Amino acid sequence: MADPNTKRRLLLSARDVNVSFEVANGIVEAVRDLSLEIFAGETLALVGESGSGKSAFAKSILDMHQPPFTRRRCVIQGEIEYHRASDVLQLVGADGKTMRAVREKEIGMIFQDAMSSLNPVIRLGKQVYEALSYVPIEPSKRWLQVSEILNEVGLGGTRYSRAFPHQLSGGQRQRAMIAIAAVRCPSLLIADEPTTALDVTVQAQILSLLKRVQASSNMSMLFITHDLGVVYDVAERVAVMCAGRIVELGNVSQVFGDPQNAYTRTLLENRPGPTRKRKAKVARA
Amino acid sequence: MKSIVELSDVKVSYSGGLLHRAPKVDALRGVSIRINRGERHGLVGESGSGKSTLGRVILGLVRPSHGSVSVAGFNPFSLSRSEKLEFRRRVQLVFQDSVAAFNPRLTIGKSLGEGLKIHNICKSSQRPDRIAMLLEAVGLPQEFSDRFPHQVSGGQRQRVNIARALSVEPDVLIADEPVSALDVSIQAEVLDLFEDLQQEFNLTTLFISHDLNVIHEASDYLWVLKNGEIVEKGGTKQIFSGPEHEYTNLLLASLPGQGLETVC
Repeated sequence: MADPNTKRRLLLSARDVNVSFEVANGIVEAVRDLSLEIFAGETLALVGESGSGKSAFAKSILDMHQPPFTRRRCVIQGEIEYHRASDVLQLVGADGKTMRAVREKEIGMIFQDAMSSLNPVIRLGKQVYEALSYVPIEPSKRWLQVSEILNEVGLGGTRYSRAFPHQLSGGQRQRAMIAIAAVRCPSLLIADEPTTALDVTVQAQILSLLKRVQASSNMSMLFITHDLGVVYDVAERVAVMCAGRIVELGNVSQVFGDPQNAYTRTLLENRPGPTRKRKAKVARA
Repeated sequence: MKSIVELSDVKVSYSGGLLHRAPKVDALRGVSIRINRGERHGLVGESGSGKSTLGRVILGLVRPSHGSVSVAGFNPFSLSRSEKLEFRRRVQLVFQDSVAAFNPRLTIGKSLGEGLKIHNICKSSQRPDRIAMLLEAVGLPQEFSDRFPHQVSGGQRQRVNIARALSVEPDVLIADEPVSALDVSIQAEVLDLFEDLQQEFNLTTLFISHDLNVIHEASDYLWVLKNGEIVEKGGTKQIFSGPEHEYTNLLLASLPGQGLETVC
């Protein structure tokens, strides 16, 4: 199956996905009846406010709602199919071995907080090297590949490969995370708010780096963010989430230019800045 | 017009490391700013540029190694006990992290009442009315005074945070990244609230943020800070339409979604 417009290959399809967590006083339905498709080489942005279920969905793709990632009891229902060249993998309910293979070779993920994703006591080069452990290449070529990818993300030279994570700035750590994810050449990269904690100038650098890495490896991206400006810069299609549901999905220019959903309109109108029209002042006694 | 905040050639350096042996970090390298009564100022810069340090100097929390500071007619670093009380009343702060800013064991009403009590703003019998009035001013129902901080949402807690700062009728309000932790739609509400209250209470505000879009809404005058130095100052609108310093230009050019307005 392929996208009829761009003839791109279907990479991931989610159908009627429900994610719910057991909490002390009941059940929280974080994701409700979510369906979407990601095609090869495209960037799909998932946008919404905190608690809308963006990360809950993304983590369910990689089955990260289980120990050791979390201790919360979580139920995932529905279908998430990952389309490889030869076969289709069902990711919901897949066994540990399958999921490990998917995480190692197929789908990579980067997070907002790069510091907690990196090992604080291992030098950067070694951490990138470890990411290659499962890739079937000659061991002698591994270090070469490590230095190549570090070069590509702008952390070339021994100064960086010998550095510990705490010696790097926030932007450099995020570059390191991108290197670790990209060195395995995944088909899909899930980026969960990768630039939220960064300064605007660094954010601009990281976004252009991600785009460059993506273009050179024909990788797809599921880009999670709450910033509509970032969506506009990186994504071709956007899915707007509210209270666990996708309320609008389509091409970025179409959704932003002519939003059909009231919530999407609220998000667009409330962007701070020169163009925001403030609401009528509420009369107070 | 008379200035209410005046800093001249303020330098701050932090010594770091164990036993303070690490090299000193210069957080502010000779900053001079002047804020007149009733104005809305914005301070923008990236992380590590010294914006929070500057806010802390004005509040008298960080002692500069050089330069003079005058806020609301006081030098915050040589105050007698009674002057300190008066200074604290007249210069208030709204923090970014509203969770950390509240005592989790006090109800919101109690938290709001503390300042009223300490500064003797009103008779104790009038305190509940006063608290209800403050909550109303920030658009919250009176019932909130019985709730604990964890029982309200982030946006609501930030409103309470603002109400608490206003409770002691300050002249100067310093807001250090007050909307950074909030969702876009809530950000918009809180920014609108700031604007209303600024007029209503005739406040002088210094809005510290890394977000140029937020600063654009919350200030009329802008200071751009880089590596502890003011690199550009002037009217906010003016700077947005024609930045003079290269760094301000870079900041503006880095804003995501530049073409978004043309689509919407």
